[in-house]
Amino acid sequence: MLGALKDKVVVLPTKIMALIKGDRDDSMVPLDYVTRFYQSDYYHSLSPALRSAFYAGPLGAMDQRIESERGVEFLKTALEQWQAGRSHSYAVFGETGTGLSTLLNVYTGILKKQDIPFNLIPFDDRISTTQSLVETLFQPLGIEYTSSAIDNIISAINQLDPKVIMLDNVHFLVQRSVKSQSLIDTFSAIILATRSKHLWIVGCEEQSWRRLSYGYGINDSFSHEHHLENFTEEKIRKLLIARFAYAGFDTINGQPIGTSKNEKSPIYSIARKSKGCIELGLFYCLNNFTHGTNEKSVFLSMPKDIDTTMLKKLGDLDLFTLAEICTHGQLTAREHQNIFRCTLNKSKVVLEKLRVLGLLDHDEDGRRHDAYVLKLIVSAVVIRYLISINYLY
Amino acid sequence: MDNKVFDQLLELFSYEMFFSILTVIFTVMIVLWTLKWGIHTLVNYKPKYRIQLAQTYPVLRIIIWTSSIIFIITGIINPPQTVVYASLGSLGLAVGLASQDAIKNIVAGVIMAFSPRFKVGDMVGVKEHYGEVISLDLNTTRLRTFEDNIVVVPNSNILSMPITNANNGELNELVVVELHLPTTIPIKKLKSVALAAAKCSHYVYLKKPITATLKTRFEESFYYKLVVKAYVIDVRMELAMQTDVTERIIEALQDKHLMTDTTFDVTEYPEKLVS
Repeated sequence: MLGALKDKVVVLPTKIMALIKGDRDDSMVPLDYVTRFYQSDYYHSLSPALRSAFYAGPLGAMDQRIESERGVEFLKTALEQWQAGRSHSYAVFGETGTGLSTLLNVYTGILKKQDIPFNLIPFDDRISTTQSLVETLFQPLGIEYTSSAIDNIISAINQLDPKVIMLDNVHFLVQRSVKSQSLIDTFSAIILATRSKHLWIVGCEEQSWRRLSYGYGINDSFSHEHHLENFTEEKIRKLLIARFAYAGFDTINGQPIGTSKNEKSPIYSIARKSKGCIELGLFYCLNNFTHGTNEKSVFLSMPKDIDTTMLKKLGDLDLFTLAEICTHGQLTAREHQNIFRCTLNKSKVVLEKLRVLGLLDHDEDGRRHDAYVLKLIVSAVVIRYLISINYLY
Repeated sequence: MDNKVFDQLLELFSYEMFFSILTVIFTVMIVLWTLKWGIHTLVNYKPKYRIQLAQTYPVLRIIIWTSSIIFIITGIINPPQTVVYASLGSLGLAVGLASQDAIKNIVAGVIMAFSPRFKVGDMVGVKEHYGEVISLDLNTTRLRTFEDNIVVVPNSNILSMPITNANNGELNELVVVELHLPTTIPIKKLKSVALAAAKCSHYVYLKKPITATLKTRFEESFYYKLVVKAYVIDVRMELAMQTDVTERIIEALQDKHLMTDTTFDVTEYPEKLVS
């Protein structure tokens, strides 16, 4: 204990001098190191088995990437209420990467088992007009589009047999334009006028939901809202331990895998510093990893905090851009131009600059390849920083 | 002060005492510098609490200086009671006569430290000056105006004058945007377009309400006075938000062909655009 105290006392003046000089603090991990981690030589020098085990995405059932006890339970209650004749509508929102889409997919499995008719409608492009909204809803519901008149839309949906209608990626409804209020009003009217017949469940990213609620009052048309909490420290720790086991390791820092109860151990510390973001946990594990005395043992060093100096050096437009990407889910250069009223070239410069810095990525998985999304590995850090300066709320 | 007291006072001083007093003053200055640096670092770490954190420094500085002066007098100089009374009497008279205003300002500064009218970081209006409070000293308060001028206001004036405080310690503040528009624009559409356009500004803090009110005015001819009230996410962006919201409203009206060049020429009536 005295040794640890001595270390801290020795390190403190160095830290203070580094802060005064404006140097990089070696006791922290620079954010740009995190954003470029998967392109680094270090990452590529790791064994393929390890890289595969720590793949930054869901690894099937092993991961238990959803908070089944809470998320699904909430939706099961919603179903019971609807079957009991209650006229309710439900919204589930959570931070990027908390498993919202997975939750809705799991729920469809439950509905299938109970033979309950349902439609899962994922929005996969920005909805900017009433017509595009109605077409997006009508096509999977099997209704022919004839008019954008609100009475006709409501009547057409009400003629369907009762069913569960789930909407995913509702962040595509957000658009900071003068037409947004009228679009959201139409959407709200549809939900309110048809919820006595159908059970509406929408899934939306947390920042988008906040924007839709604060800016356009969308939450008024939903009787129940459920915040899907970030992964708990315990959940992340278990998941990371499972990944080590999957990679073939049986001891961590000399202890059989999963047996450590020491809250000061690196694996506990990694879970704590991951801020509820699995991708950050995976990064910490790989970055603090060294082989132990044999090939089945792993030694983890203590993780360092992430240094956000890079974000502090960004200009207002860069930070506003990050905030709008968080609320819109993703932005194309054209959408960016419309929001910030700048030239298309300026929008491209800003978005590309943030991409080169490693904060943004192109949406390779989605339909809109030209759209920019926040890099998942840094999303938790960026969102918390933007909240701390009031750009997100 | 008679000679006896003056001799007693001289006898009290020695090189050691002088050195001790200097050491205390030097230590206090280092402590205050460290405190200021620590608060600055904390502000960088938690920018949202910039105003609350900045407010702690003036109070702590007064407490530390007062404690140090008491310590120097009672702990280091430790004068006999006769010297204390005589010195206080003489000093009080001299200082009182010579620096009435300065004393008034310092007393006002102490009162303001413990019963603050505003905090460092607030946007306040004092007489014709409006700006961000950048420091609260013992005798003066400094404001930075939007023209980047520093206005130094004596603290006694602040205590005796009405002060407007736009944000009262919060990062967001209400911003009023006024536009003068031609009466050819349909009223119903004007308000809804204005509200929708204001929501589009990235400076607007959507968590708080946005309102639009309309009045008619007459100056040579009738026109509408549109007042949009919305909160800005950071007090330092007040002017940027005013400009952005104004531009967005005019653009939205033009996009909807509610305001054409023939009904409203910005270059012809620049003073009527924003007041």
